[in-house]
This record gives sequence, structure tokens and C-alpha cells, in this order.
Amino acid sequence: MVSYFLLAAAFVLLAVRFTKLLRLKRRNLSAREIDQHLHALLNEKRERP
Amino acid sequence: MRKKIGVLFRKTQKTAYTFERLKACKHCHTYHVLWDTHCEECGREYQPIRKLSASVTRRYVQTRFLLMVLFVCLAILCAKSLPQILIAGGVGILLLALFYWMQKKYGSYERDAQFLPFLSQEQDAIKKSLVHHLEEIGADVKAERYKEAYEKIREIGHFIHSDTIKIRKIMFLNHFILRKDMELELETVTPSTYDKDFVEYLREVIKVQPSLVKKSVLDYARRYKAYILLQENGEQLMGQIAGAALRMRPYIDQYQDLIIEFIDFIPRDRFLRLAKLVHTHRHEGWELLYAATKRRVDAQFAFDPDFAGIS
Amino acid sequence: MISSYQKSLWSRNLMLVLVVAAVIGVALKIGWSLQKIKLYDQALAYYEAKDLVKAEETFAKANEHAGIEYGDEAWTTQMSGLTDIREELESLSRQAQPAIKDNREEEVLQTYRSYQSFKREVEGRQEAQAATFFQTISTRLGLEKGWSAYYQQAIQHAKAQMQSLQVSDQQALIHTLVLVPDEFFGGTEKKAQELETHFRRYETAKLQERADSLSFLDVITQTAKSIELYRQEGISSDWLQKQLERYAKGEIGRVIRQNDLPGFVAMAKAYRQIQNVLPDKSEVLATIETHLQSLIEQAEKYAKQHKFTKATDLYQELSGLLDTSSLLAGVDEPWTQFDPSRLLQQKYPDQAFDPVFTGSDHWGAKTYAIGVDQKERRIYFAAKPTENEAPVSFDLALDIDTDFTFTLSKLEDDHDSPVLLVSSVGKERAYLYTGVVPQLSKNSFDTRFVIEADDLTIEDAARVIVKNAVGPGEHELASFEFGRKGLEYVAKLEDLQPEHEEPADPASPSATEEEGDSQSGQGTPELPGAPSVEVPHTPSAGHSVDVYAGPGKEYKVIGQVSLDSSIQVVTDLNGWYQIQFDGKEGWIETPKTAN
Repeated sequence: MVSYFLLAAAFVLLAVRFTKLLRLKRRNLSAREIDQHLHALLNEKRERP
Repeated sequence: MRKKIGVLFRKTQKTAYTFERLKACKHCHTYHVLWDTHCEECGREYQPIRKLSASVTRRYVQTRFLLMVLFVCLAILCAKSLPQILIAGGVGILLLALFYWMQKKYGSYERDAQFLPFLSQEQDAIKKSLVHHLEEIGADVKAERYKEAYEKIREIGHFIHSDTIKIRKIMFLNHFILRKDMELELETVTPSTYDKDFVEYLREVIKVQPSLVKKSVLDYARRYKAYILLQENGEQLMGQIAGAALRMRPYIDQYQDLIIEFIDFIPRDRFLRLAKLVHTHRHEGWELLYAATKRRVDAQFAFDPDFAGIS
Repeated sequence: MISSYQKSLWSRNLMLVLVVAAVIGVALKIGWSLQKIKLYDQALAYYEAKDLVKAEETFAKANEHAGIEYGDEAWTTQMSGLTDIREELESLSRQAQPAIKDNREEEVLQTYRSYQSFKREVEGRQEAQAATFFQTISTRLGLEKGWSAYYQQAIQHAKAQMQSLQVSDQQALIHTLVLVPDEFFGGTEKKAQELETHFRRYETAKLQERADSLSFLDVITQTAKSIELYRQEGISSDWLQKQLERYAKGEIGRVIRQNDLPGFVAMAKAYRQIQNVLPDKSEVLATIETHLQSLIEQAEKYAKQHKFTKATDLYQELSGLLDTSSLLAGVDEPWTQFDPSRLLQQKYPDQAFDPVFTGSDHWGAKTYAIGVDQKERRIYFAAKPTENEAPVSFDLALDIDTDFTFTLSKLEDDHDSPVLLVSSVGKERAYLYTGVVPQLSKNSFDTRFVIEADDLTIEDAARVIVKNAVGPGEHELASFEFGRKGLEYVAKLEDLQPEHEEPADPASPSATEEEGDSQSGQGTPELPGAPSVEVPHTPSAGHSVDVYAGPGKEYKVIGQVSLDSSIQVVTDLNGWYQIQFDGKEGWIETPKTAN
């Protein structure tokens, strides 16, 4: 019985991962967005020498 | 007027995205945006930040995979009969195969998606590294190594777009004799406020690479026209700026007022081009410009054979 | 440097380690499971082939590792049962073998019993296969054979020892035999019978051997020990009790017949000590009691016959058997009364007295004895104030330095008790007369008078005639009165011629003789206990007196004695002397002074 529970848990893990990956695909993040994000990060609080 | 030196800049790397310039030393957990290939502290080769992020993502996936393997193994260990073992094994293999397939299909999205938060996590390190670079630049300035200073700050300038950086750039640039063959920047050093040094630089740059004058410069000129005019030879500069604007039709459209205002200070060859343009394309909206051009032509170049035919 | 890069690295590695361990576990499990299946099938094959032992063996091997469940449940349960049986038997064997080897009897018996009860339990299960399996394993381990060999050997060894009468440790032998399970004798009754037979044979022979070579004490002690040992092990040994009684009866009877008193006492004492192993109504003990009683009566008879020494000696001998202190005390009083000089002996054991006066009812003492030490010029007094009181004693050093004579005079003090008169050589006159009276209350002698004179005659209880006293009555024959103040001059009776005065001689026995009074010779040899006294101022020699059987004329005259000869006076009583006469006791009248 325990065996089956563990298999079920593994399946749940897989399902969760699948949903996550699908979500990411939908999001479709581009390199440009990433670049923009980087600029935003670095230029929000600029380091003053 | 300070003594200017003739320099040849190092070639700057051209990348599609800024993050491509970021290199990391895995060992020291520092970043580097300059041209060095190996870490100065430990000597290890720098890795592109993207590659680092990809490693993290890869490991994460592996961990997830191993977790599943662990569950399957535990399921087998807890099996009480042979059929149970076989079922556990079979199902386990199935699940792992599914995992593998999922990874293959959607893995890249995960990689990209992980990169974003990775950058957020690393921002402090990146910032620290940039500051370190700025300190280096400071040292260079002290040692009057302006070329190195400029080259470095040019790299930093890709990441940080503050006026401070721009003005620093300009200050360094003003130490150099500008030539046509140099890779010069204009748009990227245009500050948000009026700066004398910038204007000085602009004056020099426009002489050698007028094509650099773009919209931002033209806007700047328009905005701070008054200040520029206060400068020595301000009109000449404005004329040159107006002349540079003649390069592109949209610019002529947009900055007619500027052109018209400083039409008298536009250099001859540029003006000739304008005259030809105006003569050829008397579009709607260009009437004033045509009038102004005609005026100057009539005034200055009535007897110039190049200008013959423009009326 | 904890960056996400390194964090990811660590977590991945940790996971890897866990998974590797898990995979190893899985590999093992699968391996074991396959092996188990294989072995199960093999075990089943053996089972089908009716080879239970091999089947169980394979089955046990299959279950070595915790693997999967497999196979028919009923069959598995059955095989597990067989495994339990085998394991239990092996455990018993592991316990029993060393116990047998080291000869640990209790453990051997315990394992044997465990085995038997287990065997019964298995057989009671109504599973033919289990029972057969049990038997096979048991045989293979050699369990029953082991016990059988062990016990048979123990029995043989014990028998051999008893046969040759060479039993080094009887207790161990009995214990060993008792521990042997009944089965090995052929049953409970048979065991009891056989043991009794062997023990009896052995003990009889042993008793004979002991009787021939050992002392009575040793024989009965060892035999009693045997009885005790049998008792400890729960074996009744009446027969041995009877043998012991018979032996003791013979020995003690012999000793009684031979009148061997110390022997009897020793035997009786020894026999009483083993009372706990003797039968309730032991004939020998009764005999001992009876004889003891008769001996006590004999002692009492001795006492009545005034043979006090014999009585006391007998009591002393018997003290080994009972508490004779009260009996001795009971003898003591009449003896003292009979022979008061014992008082003196008790109080002054190192002192020799010559002479000794004894008597009763004087000076407030029930019984008294007075001893005289001529050499030391001392007189000793010992008396019993009443029957139950402790004796008192005291002595007096006489203030004289010549020999002296000591008598109980006719003078009496307040309490009608005689005054003791000491006559010694005087300085100014022939004699020095000292009158003393023992005072019990004061624990000393009272000197009532001291007078020097040529002669002194006691008329009666209070009157004295003194010839030529120093002081009042000088050169006179005067009468004195004895009273509280001593001798008091009363009156002159006649004058004396000066030439009648004779100088006093230095103290010597011959001086007293020259007085002209014939006296009986010196007393017979002075033994501390044998009283002798000079009979003072007797009439001329040749006079003999009657000896009566008791202190009175009413008694039979048993003989005559010459006053010349030495007479041993034992005591005096109311004017009668008890004397030793021909080895018997006799009484004579106190000779009266006639002057």
C-alpha cells in the first residue's frame, strides 16, 4: 500500500512540474525582456561612485 | 584649451543584448564587463552569465528528476510482493520517461524563465562588480590613463545610463583628438541636462562624424538652444547641428524650425544639399523652409553656379 | 560563498547521494526477492518430495532477508511453524550440550524438562508433520541420546561409588540421583524403590564400617549427617534411624552396665545433639533419661547419707547432661550444715587450719566454723548467718607471740553464745588469757577481756576463778564475773602463798604441759579439712568414754574411745562432739572440767 502512495506522490510531482512548464511556455519570455529587466535592476538605484 | 591626445580605441564588443556582456567568475562570485577573459583574483576563466544561469537551471531539473527517482525507489522498497515491485518499477519508468519528454519539449522555456530571477538574485553582485570597475576607472584617471578610463567607462555605460556616467565619458572624450575613423558615440552620451562639456564634445564630433547626430541630439539642441547660443560660436554649432539634421527627411520635417532659425549658419555644402532638396521636393509644409532657403540663396549664393537653377 | 549557483550544486549532490543509496537498496531488494522466490520454490519441491528437513532448511534460508511476501500463506505458516520447532530444539541443544559437558545438573534437568514439555506440546498439536519433523531434528541433534547417556552414566557412577563404599561427596551423590528423571528408572515408584535399596545397602555397610573403626561420637555424627542429607533431598530414611537407634542402644547399654559414668555422659550428650534426626519416640533417648534420673536419685541418696563429696562429684559428672547448678546448690546447704568447716575452706582456700571448730547456732550464725593457725597466730571465722544468706568471714590476728591453745569456753555472752578463750604464755604470769567473741554484725572479733594469771577456771557461764591474776586478785584465788565490761573482780576466795607463784616461761608448748594438767596429745596430722582439737583439762589417762550414734544418750552406743588417743572432732552440738570413729561418725559427750 505504501508503495502505491509513493508512486502517487511521484505522479503528483510530475503533474505539478508539467503545469509549471506549460505556464512558462505560455509566458514566452524573450531575451529582450530579460535585457530590459536587467537594465531596470541596475538603473533603479544607481550606484554613485 | 587642454592638450588633446590622439588615440585609437579598443574595439567594443557588439552584442544583441546587454546581459551578453556580463561575465562571471564562478569561484569568486564576481562579475566582469570588460575585455578580460580570466579572473584577476583566481585566474579562472570567466563564464557568460547566461551559461551560469543555465547551469543552475540544469541542476534544478536534475534535482527534480532525482527526487522522482527517489520516490520510485522507495515505492519499490516498500513493495510487499513481486507484482507490486513490478508495478512500481513499470510506473516509475513511465513517470521518468514522461519527465524526460517534458524536459526535452519545454526545457528552454524554463531556462529563460529561470534567467530572469537569477539576474534579480545576482543584481547585488553585479552592482558590486560595476562599482569595482568604477574604482578602477578612478585609478586610471588619477594616473591620467584617459584612454583606458574611457574604454572602461564605455563598457559600464552599456549597463548604467546615468548622467554621471555620461558626463564622465564626455570628460574623458574631451581629452582626445576625434577622428573620422574612430568609433564615437553621441547619442549615448547625451545627458538629461545642459552640460558645457557635452556641447564642447558635440562641436568636435559633429566636425568628424555628423551622421551621429540623431533625434536625441536634435531635441537636446532644440531644448538648450539658448544655452548653446551663449557659448562661443554657438550659432555655428547650431548651424552644424541643423546641417546634420538635413541628412534625413524625417529630421527635416521635424526640425524645420531649427533649420530655418539657423539657416544662415548651415555650412555651404549642407546648405547646397538643402537647396537642392527644397527645390526638388516642395512638399507641403516645407513652404517656410523653401522661403528661408530661397532667401539665403538669393542673399549669398545668387552668383554661385552650384546653386543655379534653384529658385 | 552561498550563491544560488552553489546552492543548486549542493542540493543536486545531496539528492544524488540519497538516490544512489536508494538504488542500492532497490538492487538488494530485487536480488533478495528473486533469491527468496527461487528458494521458496525449492523448498516447496522438497516439501512435495516429503523431505521436511530440507524443505524447512531451504525455507529458513529464503527468509533470511526481509524481502517480499510470496507463496501460499497456509504453507508459509506451516513452514514457519517448523522453523520455530527447529530453532527451539537447536536452542535447547545449545543449552543442554555444555551443561552436560560441564556436569551442571540443575541445568541439564531444566533443559530436559523444557524439552519434554515442548515435545508434549508439539505432539499435542495434532499435526503429524510437525511431530515427525520434531523427531527428525531431535535425532539429528542427538538430544535424547545425550540426556539418556548422561543420566545412565550418572546412575552407574553413583552405584559404583556406593558399591565400593567410596563416596567422596555424599550430598552431591544423593542430589545427583534425586535429580535423575523418573523415566530413567522406569517410573516414579521404581525410582524410589531402587534408590532406597541402594541407599540402604550402602548405609548399612557404611554403618558397620564406622562402628568398627570410629568412636561413638563420630559414628552417630556421620550417620546423623547422612539422615539429614536424605531428608534434605526428600528421601525418607526411617530404616537408617532404626539402625542408628539399634547401634546407640547397644553402645549406651554397654556403658551403663559397665557403670562408666563419664562414658555415659559423653555418649548421652552426643546422642542428644543429633536429636533432630532421631525418631519422635526415640528409645535410646528414653533410656538415657531413665538412667539419668536414676543417677540423680543416687546423688540425692548420697546427700541424704551425708556423702556430700560423692553427691557433688556425681552432680559434677552429670553437669554435662543437665543443669546441676540448682542441685549442687541444694546439696551445698545441708553439706555446710553437716560440715561447717567447708565455710572456712571456701573462704580461705589456701589456709591450713589446726584445729577447726564447727557448730551451729552460736553468735547469731546458723552454722559456723572457726579455724586456728598456730603459726600465724590467727584465728579465722566463717559462718552462715541463716540458711539462705551468704556466708560471712573474718579473722583476727592475736596479739601474742607464743603458742597458744584455743577453746570454746563455757563463758557465754549476751546471746548465750560461748566466748572463745585463747590461752597463751603470759609475761608476768604463767598464762595470758584472751577472751574473744565473733561479732557477725561488725564482721570482726570482739576482744572481751585480756588477763594474765597463773590459772583460770571457768565455773559457769559468767563466773571465773582466777589464780594470781595481774591486777585485782593478785596473789589470790579470786572469783571474777564475766560481763559486759569483761572480767570483773568479784571476791577473794583464798590467799595464795607466794611460792606458789611461778615465773612465766617464754611461750613454748612444753611450758603449758608443765602446768600439771594432763592433756591429750597433739592432734592427729593437720589436714585443712580434718578438724582436730585438744580436749582441754581432761581427767587422768586411761579414761574412755562411750561413743553414741547421735548427739544424745538416747542413741545407740556404738563403741568406746579412749580420751588419751587422738580423736578427730568433726563438729560439736549442744555439748556433744561428733567424732570420726572407726571410719564412721560417732558422738561423745563434751568432757567436763572437774576442778
